Amino acid sequence: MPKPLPPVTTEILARAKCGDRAAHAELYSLYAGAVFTLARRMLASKALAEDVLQETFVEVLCKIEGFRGEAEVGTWIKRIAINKCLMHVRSSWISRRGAFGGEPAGEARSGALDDQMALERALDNVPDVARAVVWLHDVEGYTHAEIGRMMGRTASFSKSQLARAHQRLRALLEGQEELNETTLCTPQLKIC
Amino acid sequence: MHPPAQDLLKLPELTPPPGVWERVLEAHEARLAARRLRRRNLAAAAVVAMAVGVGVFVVARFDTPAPQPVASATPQLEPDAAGVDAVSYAPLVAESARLEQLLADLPAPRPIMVGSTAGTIVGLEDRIAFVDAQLSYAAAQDLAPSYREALWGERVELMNALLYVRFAQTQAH
Repeated sequence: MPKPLPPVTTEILARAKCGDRAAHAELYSLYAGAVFTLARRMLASKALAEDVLQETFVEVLCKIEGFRGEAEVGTWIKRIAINKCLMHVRSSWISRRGAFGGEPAGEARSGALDDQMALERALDNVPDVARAVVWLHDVEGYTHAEIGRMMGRTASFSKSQLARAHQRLRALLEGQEELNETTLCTPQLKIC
Repeated sequence: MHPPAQDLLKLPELTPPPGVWERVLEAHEARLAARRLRRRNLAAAAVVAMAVGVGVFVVARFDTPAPQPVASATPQLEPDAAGVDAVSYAPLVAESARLEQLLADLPAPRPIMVGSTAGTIVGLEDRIAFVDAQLSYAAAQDLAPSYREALWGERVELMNALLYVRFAQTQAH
């Protein structure tokens, strides 16, 4: 099950649709964290995640007037963010980063890392498309058919990418494969 | 569910970096401004197109035998038999030349532009070419100076419109 998104009141939504800046800021404060997390996990890059966060909310402000409420606002905003992430995944820029998708290490870290940090690092080391699929399926709760459609591929493609990602994650977490150093984003450590 | 999937769900939400909201507002304002400018340009182009249409209609009322297309460049001012009449449209010729120069001085148009802008530019250029053909014919046939004056006036209007659209296009990017 995906993590529930904070609800938005109809009053804030109505004000946002009328162009009220305070309501826009309210929407941002409610959903910026979820969008940034989604983008950071899918793209394994803080800079790209920041870009996606900005682009997503610019689009939200441009289109909120025409929002018809067919889905929850948060779901709609996240869907915009996912599309933007997938554009980055498809772009040549991200593919040039090579098989290991993570950012270069900031500083060398030593000592024991807790499970959460290890998982975060492992996720950053999964290839771009597989990482996007594993996040969309396991965390956001999309089905293989939906992921296949979003990526312009088939459900089978999504399934094989997910299996590949899980296999890779397990191997990385069990130490069978070497981790590429990445900039960690676990908030408690305030590293990125 | 596979063990990594369960763990992924437990990863904490990240805090967005500061300053992004301010950049969102700036980018949104810039987009709104660009949209407003495009609307103004389209409205201006529509007004100009309407004015040009009326102008063409007025010129057409100086009805003469249908001009044959002449594949010449921009016509030159020909001395009239009655030199006094030539003076009447000499300022229009000079103005047309000045606008040509201004147009030539504008930066080259970008390879990618809004379809409606491209359509307006092509439409204006076609109309100018048509007026040029009529002017060449008028010069060859030594038609009435008043007719030529109307054509030169028409040309200046079209050049003005073209200059406006091209200038707005350069500003929009």
